Amino acid sequence: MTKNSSSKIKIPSTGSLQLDLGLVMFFVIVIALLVQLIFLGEDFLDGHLRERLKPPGYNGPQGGYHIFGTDQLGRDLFFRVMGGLPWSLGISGVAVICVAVIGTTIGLIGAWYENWIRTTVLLGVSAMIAMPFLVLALVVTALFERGFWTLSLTMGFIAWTAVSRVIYAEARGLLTREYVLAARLFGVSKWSILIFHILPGLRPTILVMAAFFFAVLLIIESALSFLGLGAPLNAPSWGNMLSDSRQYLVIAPWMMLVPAVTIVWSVISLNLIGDGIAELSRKRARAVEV
Amino acid sequence: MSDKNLDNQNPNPDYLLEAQDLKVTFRVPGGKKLHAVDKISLGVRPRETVGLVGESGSGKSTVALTLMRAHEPEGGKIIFGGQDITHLDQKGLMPIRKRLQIVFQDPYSSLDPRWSIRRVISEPLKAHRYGSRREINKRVEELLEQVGLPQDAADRVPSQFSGGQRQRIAVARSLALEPEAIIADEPVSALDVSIQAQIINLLRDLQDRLNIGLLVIAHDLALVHQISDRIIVMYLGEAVEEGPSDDLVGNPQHPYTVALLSATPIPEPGGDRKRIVLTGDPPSPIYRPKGCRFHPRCPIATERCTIEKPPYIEISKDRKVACWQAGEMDAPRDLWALKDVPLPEGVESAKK
Amino acid sequence: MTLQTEIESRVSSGLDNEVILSVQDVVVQFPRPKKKTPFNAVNGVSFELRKGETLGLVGESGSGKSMTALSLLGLVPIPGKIIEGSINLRERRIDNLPINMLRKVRGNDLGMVFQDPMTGLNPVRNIGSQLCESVIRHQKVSKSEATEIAFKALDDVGIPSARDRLEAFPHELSGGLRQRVMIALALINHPEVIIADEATTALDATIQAQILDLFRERLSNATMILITHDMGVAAEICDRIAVMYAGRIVETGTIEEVLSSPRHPYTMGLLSAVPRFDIRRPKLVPIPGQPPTAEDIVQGCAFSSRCKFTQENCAERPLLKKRDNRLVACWFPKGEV
Repeated sequence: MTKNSSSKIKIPSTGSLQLDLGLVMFFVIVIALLVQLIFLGEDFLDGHLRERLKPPGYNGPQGGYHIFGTDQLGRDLFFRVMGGLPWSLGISGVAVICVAVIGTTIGLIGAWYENWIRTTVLLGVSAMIAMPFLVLALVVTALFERGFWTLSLTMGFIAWTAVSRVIYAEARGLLTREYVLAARLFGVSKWSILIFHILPGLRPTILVMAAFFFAVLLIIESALSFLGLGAPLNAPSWGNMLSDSRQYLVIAPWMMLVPAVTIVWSVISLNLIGDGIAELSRKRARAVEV
Repeated sequence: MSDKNLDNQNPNPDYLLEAQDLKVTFRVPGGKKLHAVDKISLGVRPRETVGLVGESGSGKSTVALTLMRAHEPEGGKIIFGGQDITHLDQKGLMPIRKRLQIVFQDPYSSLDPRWSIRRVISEPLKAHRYGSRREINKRVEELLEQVGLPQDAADRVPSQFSGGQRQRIAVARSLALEPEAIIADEPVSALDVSIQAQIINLLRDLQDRLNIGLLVIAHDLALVHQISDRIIVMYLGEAVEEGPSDDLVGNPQHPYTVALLSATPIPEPGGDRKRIVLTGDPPSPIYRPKGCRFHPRCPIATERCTIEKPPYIEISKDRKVACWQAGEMDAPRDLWALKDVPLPEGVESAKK
Repeated sequence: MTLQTEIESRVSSGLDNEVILSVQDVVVQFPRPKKKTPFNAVNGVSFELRKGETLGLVGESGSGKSMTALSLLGLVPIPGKIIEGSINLRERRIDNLPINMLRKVRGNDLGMVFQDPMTGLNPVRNIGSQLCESVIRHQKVSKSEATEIAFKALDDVGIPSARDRLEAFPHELSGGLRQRVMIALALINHPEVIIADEATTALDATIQAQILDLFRERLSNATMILITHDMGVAAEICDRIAVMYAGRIVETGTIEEVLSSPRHPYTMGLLSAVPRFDIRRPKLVPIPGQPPTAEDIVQGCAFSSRCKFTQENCAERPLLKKRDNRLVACWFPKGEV
């Protein structure tokens, strides 16, 4: 009896099953990224033309064991998908930071001022939303060299509009709370109010939006690369891999499946994290009400 | 000419906090004006409790927020401690904010749910650079004791407290900088009856001990009568009657005061109280009736009331009323006769 | 005849009137997240309602008064449920009815008026159609007859130009008028019992007075349960009140007797805490401490931690016992040993 109860291992939990699962899935990605960055690098990306289009599990004399198979140039798909991690996660990661910072700042500015600044901000955001995203991306990639920073910053500077809308609405709600009014009437400065009352209140929203946008941007990055507007052609980004797989879909479906499953895995983990944070903050809000 | 006269009105040296002909309007969609507060004058002496009574839409909370300079008045003056603060900028207001504080109605939304109680109470202290962290912590401990909360409350968050305890925390926060005056906007209306009395007694005790001027804003006339030295009754943005508490309640002059008195349910057996029930709803502060604002609901309105607005005049010392028919309606209850009526068993009596 | 029913009948104003609604030992239970033991929001409540009387259920937030009302209507919110006791409307048991039967009981036999009329009215449909729908569902009448009944109902509750109001939407009416519409809706099918849950709490004093006046005029002979936190409101219209604390009735008797000579220390405390117009300004005597919440489940008398008469006996829960023409659940009513 006692043995049984003492041998129980306590699994740490955040209190939300979705968040737990999402974090575990994301942890796998992070470990893979570290392995790639520390141990693998770009050394394993070269292909052996004799071993082109080999199925998963193929053990070749030149390239060795290919767990996920190889592509049309005989490059190992496992190492390629690993090599795509810094590209795909990096680009959408930088972009999501831009999105969060710009979106929050613009949203807060719109919410704080009640004069012409608000009108300008709201009009500006609407105008941005009206702009066709793909055309903009096309223009930018035409003007600048295709690469990591071009792509991530372009995505970041275009996609923040939705975040700023949400933050604007949320911050306006927080600004009407009596504790904000109280702080103002006690003589607390507006910067203190923004940093210590409003931003902490926005934190769950920002985190949820960031997780969702990370996933969305990951897909957009793949889509842009797929269309040939994203990462440089030979870069091992997941979108490029998908793009390559198009012509060999029938004879080598694993070429499509490997990057696709990776993308789906990442997107699901990020969405679970987002949902989990939202669930937790809802629970907490309910606890505050009761 | 008369306007000039108003502008030259001197601050009453008796008053700590004073409003002179305060006027607040808001723009509403459609380009119309909402007259929230229309030429209210009031004053709070040091160590005095003044009650401001009115129903929803009467503008009483707008008065509170305008006095705190959260709304910009369209006209009139706000005077605090002899200084005109109507147009001071945020920097100029800082010393005033230290001396004049506010307690809000809803202790659930007036405390940041993410902050510890220590942080909540020390917020005004930090804003005014009260002192070192140790001095601030010591002050927080003092304040918790003053409002009857245990010391270990400091490190918990608001959700761990009941409504009454949260309102104690809000009171502690407003006391932090040792203000000379506190405005309490419906301080107990969100609380249960048994807890209301706790907070009211707390406010009264603190006022006695700390010599604070108190402006209590509430919709409940019985409650205001309980704690105030003087009462001002508001209707549709205007003061209609004012006077010392017992005199106003025992000898009301304005029909609206009479109606409020009669409308307040009191747990007394026997329903033989004279009752005046007003018809209709309070009019909108956007489309106000001409003449006396109260005439459409007034049981004793005459033709004059529909055309001409009654002036707000002093009828005896400290008593003012705005009514052509002042004193025409009898009080629903003879307060003075209550002296000989025994209180219900178990209800304790203590002179104020 | 049990002791309780005997006293109930003596205490009741409608002395020999028949019992319409009988509630026996009702327990409403809620599971508590993260805790093993559940929480009883209503913890063994019994009372009888006789024809033509108005019973006030008075208590503070968390006393279980509203949950008692909801249990009568079969509206206990999930995951709570009635785990014990019975509710009988005349001879018929209504606490275990299936949902379609329950719908018929609500409206037909039980009319309800809620605190916030907006929760009881559909915001996107006009008043007339909502009233007519209720009439047609419960009575066999044509559409035009239903409209006529709806008009009469509005007129009856003192709504000016009632005919035009049939076309109005809830948001176009003031709070007072909306509450009148709710009352009209509750009365339209002539229910046997009316249940009013904090029906005047959200209203301004002068509007509350209008509604209380309406209750007095139109419903003085109705069989009604009035749920309120305000002793003053109860004093205005109830014949009998039951004071609730922590899910139980602690004192019940006629309104005159309870108000003039409260016996339970909680009732005494409540009455001492209410400001009343009095030139003597009796100092408000608050009840110390906080009302119990779902977090703390007390053994023995739930009020003992806040009561100034508490003695050793109070560790055991006192039952409702006859005392000076009423029922009191206290070992030391009025502080007597």
